[in-house]
Amino acid sequence: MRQLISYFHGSFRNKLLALIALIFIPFLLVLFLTSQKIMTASLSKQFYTHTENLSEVIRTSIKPLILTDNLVAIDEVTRSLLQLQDVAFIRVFSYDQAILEVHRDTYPQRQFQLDKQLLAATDGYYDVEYIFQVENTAVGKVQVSFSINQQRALLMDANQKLVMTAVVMTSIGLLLTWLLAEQVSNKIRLLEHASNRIARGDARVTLPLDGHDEIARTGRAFKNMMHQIKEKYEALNLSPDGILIVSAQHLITYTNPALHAMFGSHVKHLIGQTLNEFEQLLLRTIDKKSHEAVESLEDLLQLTEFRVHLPDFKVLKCIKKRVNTNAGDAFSEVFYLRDITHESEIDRMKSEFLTTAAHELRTPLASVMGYSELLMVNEYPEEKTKFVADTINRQAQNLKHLVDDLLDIAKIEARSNAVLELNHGNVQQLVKDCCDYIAATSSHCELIFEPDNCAWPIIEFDEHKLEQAVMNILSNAYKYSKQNGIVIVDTVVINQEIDGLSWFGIRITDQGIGMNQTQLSRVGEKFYRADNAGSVPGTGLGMALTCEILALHSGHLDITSQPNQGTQVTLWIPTFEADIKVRGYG
Amino acid sequence: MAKRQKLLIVDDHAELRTLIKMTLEHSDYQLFETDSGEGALQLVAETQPDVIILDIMMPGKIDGIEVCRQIKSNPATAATKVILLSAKGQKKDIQAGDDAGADAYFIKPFSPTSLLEAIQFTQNCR
Repeated sequence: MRQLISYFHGSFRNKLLALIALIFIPFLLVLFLTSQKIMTASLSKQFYTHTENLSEVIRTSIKPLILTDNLVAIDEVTRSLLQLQDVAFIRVFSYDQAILEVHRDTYPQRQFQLDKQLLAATDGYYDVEYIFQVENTAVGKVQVSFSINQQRALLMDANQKLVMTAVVMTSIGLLLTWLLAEQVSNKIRLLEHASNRIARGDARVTLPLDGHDEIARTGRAFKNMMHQIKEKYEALNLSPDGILIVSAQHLITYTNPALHAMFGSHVKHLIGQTLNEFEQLLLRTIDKKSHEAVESLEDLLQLTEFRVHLPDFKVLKCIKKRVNTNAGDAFSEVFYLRDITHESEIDRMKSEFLTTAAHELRTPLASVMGYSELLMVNEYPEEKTKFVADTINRQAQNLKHLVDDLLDIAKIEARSNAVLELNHGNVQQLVKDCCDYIAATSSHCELIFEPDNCAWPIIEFDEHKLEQAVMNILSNAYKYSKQNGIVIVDTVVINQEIDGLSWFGIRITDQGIGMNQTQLSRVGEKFYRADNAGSVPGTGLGMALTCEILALHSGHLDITSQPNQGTQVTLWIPTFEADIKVRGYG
Repeated sequence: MAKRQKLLIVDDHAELRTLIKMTLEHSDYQLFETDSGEGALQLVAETQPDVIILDIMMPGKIDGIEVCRQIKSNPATAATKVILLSAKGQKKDIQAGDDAGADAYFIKPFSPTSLLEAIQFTQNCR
C-alpha cells in the first residue's frame, strides 16, 4: 500500500491519471445506471401501452363470449390473438374455471407468475391477468403471457453498447491524459536534470524551450537563470582567492582553481568527500610552532590569519559563510581562503622599517642629548667645550642626513613626488661637478677622473636625483678608503647583443676596505651597514636610495668588491639612442 | 684605601663611549672600552670589571644580550653589574634584557646624570 501511495506521490503524471480515473469512472457508472433506468422505463411504458391496447381488444372480444360461454368463438378469438406480436400464451377463465388455453409452439412448460418486474422475467415471458367484472362481480379472467425476448435483447444490446462506450471513453480519456501528462512530465524532468547538472557544475544541459506554454516560458526563464549562474561560476573560477562549498549534507561540492593552486591539484579529489577531509588537509599544513592550540577548523576560523606550509610558507585568512537552505534548519557552507602572505610581509616590513628608523634616529640623538647635558652641568675648559660642541654639531648633521634620506626614500617609494624632471643630454658636467666637489671637501684620497671622452652618450635623466646617486657612491668610496687611497671615476658604454640595447655606465672604483659576499648581497637593504663600517659615519640608507633612483631611470647598479682590496660600483643607465622609455610618473 | 672599581664600556659608537667616559671622569673608576661583543667577553675575562655599560646592537656575531647572558651565567662573573644601553626601547626588548639577567636598562637617548646615578646605585646594591 505504501508503495502504491509513493508511486502516485512521486509523479505528477500518475497523480493526474489517478485523478482522471477517480472522476471518470463514477461519472460513467452513474451515466450507465441512469441510461439503463431510462431505457427500462421507456421500454416498460411502451410494453404496458401495448398490453393495454391488447387488453382492450381482449375485453371487448372475449368478455361477451365468456358471458355466453361460447367456447368456439372464444377459441377463434384467442387463436387470432395469438397471431398478434409478442403474445405467446392465453388462458381464459369463466369465473374461476379455466375454459380454454392456447399457446404458441415455442412456449415452454412454465409457471404463470404475476407481479413480476419486467426485467426480472429471466425466462423471457411476462405475465399479465385481466379480470372481467359485471356489477362488481368477477365473471371471468384472461391470463396472457407476453414474449419479451426481443425487448430484453434490445435492452441488453443497448446496455452492452453503453458499457463499451464507457470503457472506450474512459480509455481514451486516460490515454489522452497520460500523453499530456507525459509531455509535461518529460519537460519538467528536463528542468530537473538541468538543475542537477548545473549543481554539479556541468553547464551542458538541454532545456524545454519549444512552444509558448508555461513550461517553455519556465524553460526560457531557467535558461536566463542558468546564464547568470554560469557568469557567477566563472567569477568563482577566476577568483584569486580559494573557495570551497560544502552542501547541507556536509559533502564538498565545489572547489575553485585558486584553491587548487593554493593547496595543490589533489584538492580536486575532495569533491564528494566530507568537510573533515579538508579540515585534516589544513591541519596537516599548518605551522605548528605559530599555532600550537589549533586543533580544528573552528579554531582556525577564530584566527584573523594563520601560517601554513604548502610547502612554501604562506599566510592565509579563512572566512566561513552559512547559506540557509529552505529546508528547515539545514544550511550549506562557503569557505573563503585568502592568501595574504604578500600583505602580511609588507606590513611586517613597514613595521620593521619604522622600528629600525626610530632606532637609527636614537643613536645620534643620544650624543646630542648626552653631550649637551654634560655642557649644562659641567664647567669645561674652552678646548673641551669646543670638542663637545663639535660632536653635538656632527651628530646633529648626521641626524639631518638621516631624516633627509628617510624622506627621500619615503617619497620615492610612495611615488607621490617622484616625478622625474627629465633632461636629455650627456652627464659629463654632472659627474665632473661631483668629482670636483668631493675632491675639494675631502683630502685624504686622491681622485682620478679619467672618462673615455668618446663615451658620453645622450641619456634621459633627472639632474638632481642622478647627482644624489653619484654623490652617494663617491662619498662611500671616500669614506671607506684608507688614508692616501685612490678613487678612480671613469665611464663605459656597452651594446648588448641579446636585446640590442645600449647602456651607459658611470664607474667608481676605490681601494678601500671592501666587502665580503654576504655583505655585498645585503648592500641595498635599508639601514644595512657592513660590520666593518665601524666608526665611519653613515645612515645605512644611501645605497638603498641610490638603487631606487637608478630603478626610476630604468637602470641598475653593479657592485663588485673584495675585502681589504676595494669596491667597484657602476651606475648603469640605458642610452637615449636605444629608445628606452625611462620610467616617469605623473 | 679601597680598591678602584673597574668599569667596562661596550658600544660600537666611539662618540657614545667618549660621552660615557666624560660622564664618569669625576668618579674614581678604572675604565676599559671596546666596540664589540667579542671584545667585551675577552675584556671581562681579562679584567673582571665590576660594572659593564653594554650596548645591545653591535656589529659582529655576539650582541649585548648574549654578552650579558654569558656573564650572568658564568659563576666567576655573575656578580658583575650589567647596565644595558640600547636604542631598542620596546617592551619585548626590555624583557629580553631582564631574561638575560641585566641589572638596569637604559634607552637611548639617555641622560648622562641618570646613568651615573644608576651606576652608583648598582654599586651600592652589592
